[in-house]
Amino acid sequence: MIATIAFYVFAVVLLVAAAMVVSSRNPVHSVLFLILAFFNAAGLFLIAGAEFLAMILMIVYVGAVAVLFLFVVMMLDVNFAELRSGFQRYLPIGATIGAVLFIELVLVVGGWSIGPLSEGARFAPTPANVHNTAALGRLIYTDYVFLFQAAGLVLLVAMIGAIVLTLRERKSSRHQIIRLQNSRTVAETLEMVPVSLGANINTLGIYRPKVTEPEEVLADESDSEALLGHHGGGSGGAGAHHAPEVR
Amino acid sequence: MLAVGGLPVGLGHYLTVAAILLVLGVFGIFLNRKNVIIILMSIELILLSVNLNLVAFSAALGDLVGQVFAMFVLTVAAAEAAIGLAVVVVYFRNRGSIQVEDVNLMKG
Amino acid sequence: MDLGAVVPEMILAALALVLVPVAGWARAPRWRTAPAVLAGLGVIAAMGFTAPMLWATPTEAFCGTYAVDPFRAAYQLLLELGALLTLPMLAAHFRGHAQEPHAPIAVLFALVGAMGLAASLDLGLIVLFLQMVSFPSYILVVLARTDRRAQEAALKYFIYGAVALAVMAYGLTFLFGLTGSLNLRAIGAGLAGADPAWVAVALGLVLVGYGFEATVVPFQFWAPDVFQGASAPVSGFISVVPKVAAFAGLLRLLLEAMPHGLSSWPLLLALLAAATMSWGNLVALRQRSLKRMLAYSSIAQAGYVLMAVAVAERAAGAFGAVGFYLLAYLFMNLGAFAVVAQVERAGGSDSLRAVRGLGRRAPWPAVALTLALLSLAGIPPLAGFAGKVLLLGAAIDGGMAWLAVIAAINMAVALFYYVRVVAEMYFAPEERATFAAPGAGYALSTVVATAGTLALGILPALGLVPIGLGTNLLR
Repeated sequence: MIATIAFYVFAVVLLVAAAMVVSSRNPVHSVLFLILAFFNAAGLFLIAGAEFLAMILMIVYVGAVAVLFLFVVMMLDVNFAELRSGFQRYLPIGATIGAVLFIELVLVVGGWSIGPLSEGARFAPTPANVHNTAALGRLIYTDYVFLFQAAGLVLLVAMIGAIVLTLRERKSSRHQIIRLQNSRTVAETLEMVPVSLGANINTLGIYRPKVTEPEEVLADESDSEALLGHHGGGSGGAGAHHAPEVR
Repeated sequence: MLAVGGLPVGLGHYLTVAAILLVLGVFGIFLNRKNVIIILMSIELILLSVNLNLVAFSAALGDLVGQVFAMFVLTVAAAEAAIGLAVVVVYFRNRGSIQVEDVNLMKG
Repeated sequence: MDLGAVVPEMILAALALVLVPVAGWARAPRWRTAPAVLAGLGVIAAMGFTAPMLWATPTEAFCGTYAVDPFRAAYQLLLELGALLTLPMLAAHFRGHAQEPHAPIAVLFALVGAMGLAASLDLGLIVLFLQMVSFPSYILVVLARTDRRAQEAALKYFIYGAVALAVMAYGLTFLFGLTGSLNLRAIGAGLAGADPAWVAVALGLVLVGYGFEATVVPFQFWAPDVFQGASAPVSGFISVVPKVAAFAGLLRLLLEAMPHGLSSWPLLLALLAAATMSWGNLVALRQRSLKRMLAYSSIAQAGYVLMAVAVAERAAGAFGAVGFYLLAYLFMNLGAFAVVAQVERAGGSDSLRAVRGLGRRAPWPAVALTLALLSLAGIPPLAGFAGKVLLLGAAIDGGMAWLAVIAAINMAVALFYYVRVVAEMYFAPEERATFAAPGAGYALSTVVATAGTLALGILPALGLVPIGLGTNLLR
């Protein structure tokens, strides 16, 4: 009984939060509603007995993905009021498509029945005396180990991809070149200057050591990208924020 | 005590919630044609509905495989958010805007 | 251990991972091509390990999640060939660019995903590998980060892709819900007694994802914009590798999980094929941009292939026809994109006017483009002709003569826009006097692709024999 009530509470809050995600005026609110939606979905998972997934949803989604969204929303200095202007215009078409989709789904969902063969075809029946996490672990590291590895590779690809896309090397950033540091000798760094007794700065002048800049400083990325970017565009530099849109 | 390995409510209830969530996600994509970040969140909602479906089936069938599948869908969703946001950041850096409707240099 | 089943994938994935730090170190101009060369060698090595599987007895690895059968070997060889042909022109295109060492890594990762898709027997693996094809493809499009068109293209590609694959995942959950299994063959056994309406819903939703990757109408809207916005070698890559992988995955799904035309998918696919080829050809007629025209042409080509997929269970030759046509398509399409890439690099534009008088300015690229386009149009004795004959024969064999008639009309219409480009090259007065010969990489891709187009046209057995072995599918 309690579980049934909990189901309805979680389901209703989940759906309301999801509706707010897509209709909220402020993207920051959208992200916060998304977090609320994830929390309630985790509740629904718990009711269905998927404890591990519920916790993962909290940790990975609320803890990482939603925060990533929040970071990007705040980092990009976007005029969000302007973005809303198309909302009314797309409402009819969006509503039509949504309604058609919904009616179709309700029609079929109403008639759901589990196929006659499904009881027998059950691949991994839920074990009775093991808790959810352990049972999942047994499956993932045995029968589904290949999927597990593939999932790892997908995450790695996504990580490398995101870094390659967003990493910018600036000319102004100073790198430490360890090889050059280690190959310095005393003769290069230390110079003995004979100073006569009683000499002061006026007679000696200011002594400056010779500094040779390493030549391995890379060419700025925007220089080389200009080779390919024949459509103009900004230099990818910080100035892009304030540059007027070229249309 | 919550029922483990079964559902307190009918499977149809879960499927309906997931279906509505899917519709909201698709709806959000059409509604927010200009705002890429909300589109990305709508995609997350669609993937959440996928997971809800899987967990519900898994519980109703008493078959744990559904939860394994849900875990991989979760992985995919997280990776997709990362790539999507990176693309959006690259797009924004050059334009100072994330409007998809700006996407009209090409027509034909 | 089952690791022997994934040696080619492991070679490529390990190489890609090793190349990530190598790309970071290889900053000096003369080392910048090292990742591309290493990637090419790696792909050749992987092909060496894939080929013996053509004669393997069908079996499965990793607890039934991954197939080891000749079908997989044939399609994986196709995909590796596609990547191998793309690598030189991609390297030539990114020459001198800060992201140059990164492009081959993206190609390798996409290739691993595509190869995995051809062998996956598990719904979870299908979802994972579809994403592994798509992520690097998005990245390839936007790798030249300051190009505004490329950014637009990547954003569109990403949004359409993410939505299509999410909807497909929703459809896959129903396949699980109906049968309680993620394994394709177990699903095939379980679906026989399931509610046909549900099976139809699941199939429809699953087709969204594969339709997106294979540019099947009505999920093709991204293709023209993305092909035009991305640089020509990247467009060539995403017009071949994800598409071949999607057809391989679709064939496996249909034949293993939905045997005997369950929920009448042959008719559904036939209708989609007719719509795809007609739409692609009709819209291609009025394109002025070469890359955009090739995008619509590749949509139409997907329609032709889908025609044989629809009769895959009914006609004996259909299975081989799909593979052979994809092989021919790979050569002719990459050949066309390689020349368009040179034209674009030399003239800064890919419009129809850019090739005006190319026959006199640059005779060899013009010959290559002519052969590729005529092959796409289906003129004998080129690869496209042999492929189209096989496809039409399969459709008639499978009792879909009406579809073969539609396809034949389409091929006649398509002739017009392919020949228009050829006419522009040879008979229009030239506008620009010079054609700076770009890098050797373009030439390499062009020569190999053209040689393949010619060889398959003159001696179809060269392709038919390995593809014929590859019709042996694990069932």
